[in-house]
Amino acid sequence: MNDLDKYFEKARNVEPDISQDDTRKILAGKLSDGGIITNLYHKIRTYPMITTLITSAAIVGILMLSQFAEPTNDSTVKQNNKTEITDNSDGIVPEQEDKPEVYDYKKEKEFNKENPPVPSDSNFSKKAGLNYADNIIPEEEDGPESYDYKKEKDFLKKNPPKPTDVTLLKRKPSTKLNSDSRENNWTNDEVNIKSINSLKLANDELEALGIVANRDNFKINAFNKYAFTIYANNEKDREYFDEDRDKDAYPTPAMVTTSTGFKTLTLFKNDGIEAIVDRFESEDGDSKTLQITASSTSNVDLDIDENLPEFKFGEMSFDEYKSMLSGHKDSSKVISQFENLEDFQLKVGNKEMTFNLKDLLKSGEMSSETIDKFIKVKELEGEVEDDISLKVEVDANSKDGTRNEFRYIKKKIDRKVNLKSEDLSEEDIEKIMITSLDSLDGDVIELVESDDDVQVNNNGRTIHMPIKSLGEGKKIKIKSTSLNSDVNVRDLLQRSSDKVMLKKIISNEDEAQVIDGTVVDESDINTITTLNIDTDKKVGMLINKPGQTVWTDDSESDSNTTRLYSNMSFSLIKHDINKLIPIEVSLDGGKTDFIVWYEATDDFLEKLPSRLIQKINPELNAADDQAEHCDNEPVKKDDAVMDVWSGCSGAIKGMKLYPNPAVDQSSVELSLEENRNLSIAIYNLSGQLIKRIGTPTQYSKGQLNKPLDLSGINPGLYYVVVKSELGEQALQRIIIE
Amino acid sequence: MSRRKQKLFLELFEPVRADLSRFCMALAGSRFAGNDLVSDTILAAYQSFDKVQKPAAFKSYLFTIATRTNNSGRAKHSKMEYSDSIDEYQLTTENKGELDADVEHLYQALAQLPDKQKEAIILFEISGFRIAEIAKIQNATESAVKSQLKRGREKLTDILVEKKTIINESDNVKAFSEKVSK
Repeated sequence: MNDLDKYFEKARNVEPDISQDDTRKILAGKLSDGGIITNLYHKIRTYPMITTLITSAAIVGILMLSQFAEPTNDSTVKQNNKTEITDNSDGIVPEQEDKPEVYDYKKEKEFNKENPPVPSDSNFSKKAGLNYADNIIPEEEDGPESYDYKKEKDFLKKNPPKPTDVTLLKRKPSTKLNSDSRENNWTNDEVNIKSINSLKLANDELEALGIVANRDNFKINAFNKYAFTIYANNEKDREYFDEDRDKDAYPTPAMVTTSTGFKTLTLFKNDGIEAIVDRFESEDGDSKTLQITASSTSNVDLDIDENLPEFKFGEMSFDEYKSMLSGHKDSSKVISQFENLEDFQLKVGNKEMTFNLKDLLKSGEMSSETIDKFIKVKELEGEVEDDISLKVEVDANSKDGTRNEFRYIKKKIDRKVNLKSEDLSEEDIEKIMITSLDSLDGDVIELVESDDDVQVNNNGRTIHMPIKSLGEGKKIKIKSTSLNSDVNVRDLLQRSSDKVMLKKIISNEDEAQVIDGTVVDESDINTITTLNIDTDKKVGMLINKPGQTVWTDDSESDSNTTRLYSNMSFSLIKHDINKLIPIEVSLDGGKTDFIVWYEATDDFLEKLPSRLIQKINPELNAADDQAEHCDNEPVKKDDAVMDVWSGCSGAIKGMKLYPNPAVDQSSVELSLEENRNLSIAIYNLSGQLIKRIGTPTQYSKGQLNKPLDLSGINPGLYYVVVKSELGEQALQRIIIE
Repeated sequence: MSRRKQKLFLELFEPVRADLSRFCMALAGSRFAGNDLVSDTILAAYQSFDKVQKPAAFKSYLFTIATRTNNSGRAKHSKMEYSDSIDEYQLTTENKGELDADVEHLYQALAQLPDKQKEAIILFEISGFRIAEIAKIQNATESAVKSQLKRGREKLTDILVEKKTIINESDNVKAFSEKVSK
């Protein structure tokens, strides 16, 4: 061995620095998409004893509870529904073809007398004014010492466990699945609507989430800025926290509904927007009007800029408004205007103003054209993560109704981004869906020359992508390229320091081709997002964030659109409501009054008791794994709280709704693998039919896109159910605003 | 991301962990930068893990990513950024101690080589890849790799010989030729 080889020999034997544990840490700590599951995984690994204890206690509980589950059905829910329906004077007569089973209270009482120590079914507990969780949890925590095994044994002897699919927290749907429904006349609406399997928590567990229930109201945390109080009569109130309060104390829910999804709906959207959706009767008593009040709460720190000009509605022209928007670092304004909405709420600094657009028009200060400028999003741009922005501009010509998907990835970006046309209200805008990561394979695009943007030709549709979105650090500006063959987007990322590498895909053979590119000074790249607002269509929502600056350049605007620029992305991403986790709230400890819906964020899961995390773990896994409904195989789980598997059934695949949330109109999209006769209907959360959409119709296999007329339905959360003559049934949650 | 994926990844990664760590240290020139490169590589590899069709190809896939990450990383990131991210991952809390002086010298000498030469030398001499594999990783022909190795070895000999003045250059080249011809 010569001397040089000695060096190498030593280098070959250097002790490696990265341990196996380090590898795990890197994967667990850095990958946000693995965060929830990984953390759970580690937690469960770390506390095997606790896990075992809780699991065994839960199994014992399930066995015992199953004895009582059958007779109790959901009379609580039904009572509630009934009241709601009566109140609902929209002319919708909900059909209750399945009469609620008469509940025998006497029987229950006697039964209860006979078996006093056994924790009972949840509905049963509610009637007795007991909190289910209060009864069960201490038992688990006290462990074997306090548990009377003998009693249990005796009890089990007397009442041997029967196989049943009723589980701890399941509430039976009011319309039960008729086992003969396949053979029977299938149009009789005897569908198996899964009612919400909301999670029930003990009071202290609710408090850990920031939910405090009192006799006539309950409070939830909102954006860590204020406590949002909801009263039994559905009135709302806000109470701002002290400034020195722990800012990350509680997760903010995605929305709050009543137990049936009816009545006023409170939405907590991204970026500190709280929206209350309500329907009220106008003064003439004839028509009902929809009112949406949206207000930004992200402005509590706003006094930084004391010189923020006062927004004088009715005294300012649109141009003045635009100029006011520009140049203010910490501006925070909300402009909201919806299809049927004339009331208009705006917040500037700590001033909150409500206006009526008609009055404004009358005053002459704003022309109808001016108002119409807050209309429609034509071009949208979503910020994927801090250092990357993605702009998609779609030619409005392709109106064929096909769904085009375009996926884009970037290193270290694993957050899913959905920019769907459901955020828009314009039918000539194609449905755009941008998801990230692993699903990119097979997307073949064409790059053609452009000044600043790469034009991506995807299935005949042109998408402009700013070069800045392609760089993962350095900004690459492609000067010219003559490449005209198929290129995989993924390969754009595999570039060396000052070249953009594009790999041509030619019949499975990789052939590298270097495209001339130069590195542009980073300071040349502005992270500017734009929003085109069409002048003649419906209004979108424009929300500023703290630190966001919005400005316009009139020279670029034409008569049809106004373009707004911003240093931050405009917020267009919404919750996936099918993946929200419902939590019951009872004011008096009895029946469920409200449901608070949370996104399965790390913050939220941290505060959720581990027994519940274990319960919903399969769903979390599935939700994490699937970018779309039906991406992964459905798992039979009757007590699922998330609707991760419900979007497909038999030949019905990939059911989607858009827009969602919707006002009066939405559409359902699905693909049929076989010819089917389909009926579509809207149900409430407890499974009552609210509205049929058309009559059952025969469809041939392929993509199906059907409009949904939602007019006349009260705001709230519902299920859209598609059912075939063979009993296949797919459903999705929909928010009606 | 599923646990399955993570498990599979860890299973495949474990056998090559030490090799990758040594490779990254040599490539980046220090333990510190090497660790950062390893973690970047792990993340990038995990991200596009689905692309790996055959487990057998995992090692060269990983080393390809490390090479590429090193190239783009060095051009773009400042040392400051590296130290920031180290803090973030908390990977350097366990200091495994100083490197052997000879290894340090080798790293310093390697740093003076052109990228391709350096990569080829490290892949061949330290990480034990075959020339055909290196050609694939470097997206080059085998003869190109061979000449990179030859020139790199000559240069290293120069650098290390100048410092030590003990190495017979022709011996080195001879030893190398023998190795390559095997």
